[in-house]
Amino acid sequence: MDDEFDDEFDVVTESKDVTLLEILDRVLDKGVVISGDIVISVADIDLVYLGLKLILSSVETMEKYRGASFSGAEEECS
Amino acid sequence: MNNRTEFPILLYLYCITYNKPEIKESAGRMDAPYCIKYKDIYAVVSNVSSKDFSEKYIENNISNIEWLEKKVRIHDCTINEIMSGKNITALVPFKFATVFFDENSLKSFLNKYYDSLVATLDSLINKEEWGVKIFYDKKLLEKSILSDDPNVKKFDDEINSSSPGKGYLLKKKKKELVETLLHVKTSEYGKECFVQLKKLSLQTKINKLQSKELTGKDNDMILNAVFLVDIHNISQFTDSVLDLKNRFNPRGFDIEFTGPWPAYNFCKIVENKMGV
Repeated sequence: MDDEFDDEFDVVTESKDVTLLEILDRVLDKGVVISGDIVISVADIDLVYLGLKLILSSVETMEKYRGASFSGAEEECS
Repeated sequence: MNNRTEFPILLYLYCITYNKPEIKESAGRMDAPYCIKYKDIYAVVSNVSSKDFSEKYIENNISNIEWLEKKVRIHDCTINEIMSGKNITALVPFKFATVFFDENSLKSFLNKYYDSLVATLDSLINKEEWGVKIFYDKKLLEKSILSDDPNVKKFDDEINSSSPGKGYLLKKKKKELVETLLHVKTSEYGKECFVQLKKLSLQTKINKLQSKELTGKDNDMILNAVFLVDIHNISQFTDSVLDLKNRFNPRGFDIEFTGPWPAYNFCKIVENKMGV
């Protein structure tokens, strides 16, 4: 799919030396929590995070994604 | 091509700041972050597609690790960039995928939570979050216990001068002692590190330990802590971590030090009190 929301990202990453886990641990598990007026309820994200930990703790997945930047992640975020 | 009526644009909130963040122009990027001012605070937001973040689609998207990594890194990267701005002394970071329908729903949120947002911003001025994780090499620590601990050595002498039967039992007891000592030493060292760093910080939080499967490390985690540090104490704090590292490395302990992070672990906001 090629639309404006898929090709605009000069993805990332200034933070590529920080592992995905380290980031997920903060942006999914911590951070300010609000409710109401938002599209996605916080509870959903919490559930997602729990499920995700299971996915991430599967060795295969971690070996594939641990610390590695994904394809296309070449440019700095600026 | 994208059909706007089918995929309406949503508003993704990254963080709240006091001073106006300087955001670099990124021409042609539909997702480029920008500011919305409300009273004396600024919300850093970007337009995102409901194809990515609406309730209907996000659940499916999020189980795609490549999508998730891309979006999560954008979230992290955007806030880092704002945080590094010279005039930014405090910011409140939001959770991944905090998404509003439009500017009105964002403003109504800012209105409802204004007091708390301002109080949180005030509490974070000139402070940084740093993470400290400690891992230990069981084999190395075991080796030092075996060669240095007097009680363990006593067992060796006894084992050498005992019959095979008694020796077997003594070996078993020695093994138990070593396990106990491993436990004692790791909590002792973990505590020592934590206490030393706590003295140099304003707030601390101890998070759950992560398993080896999750961290991908060979060594076990014995401490997972975060510290809120005054920027004037950062060099002292960093020196202290290095000092601990040097002291404990030979004993099989490795300290992983990350930061500065947006204060994800030290933000909590609540709705304004009734009648405000």
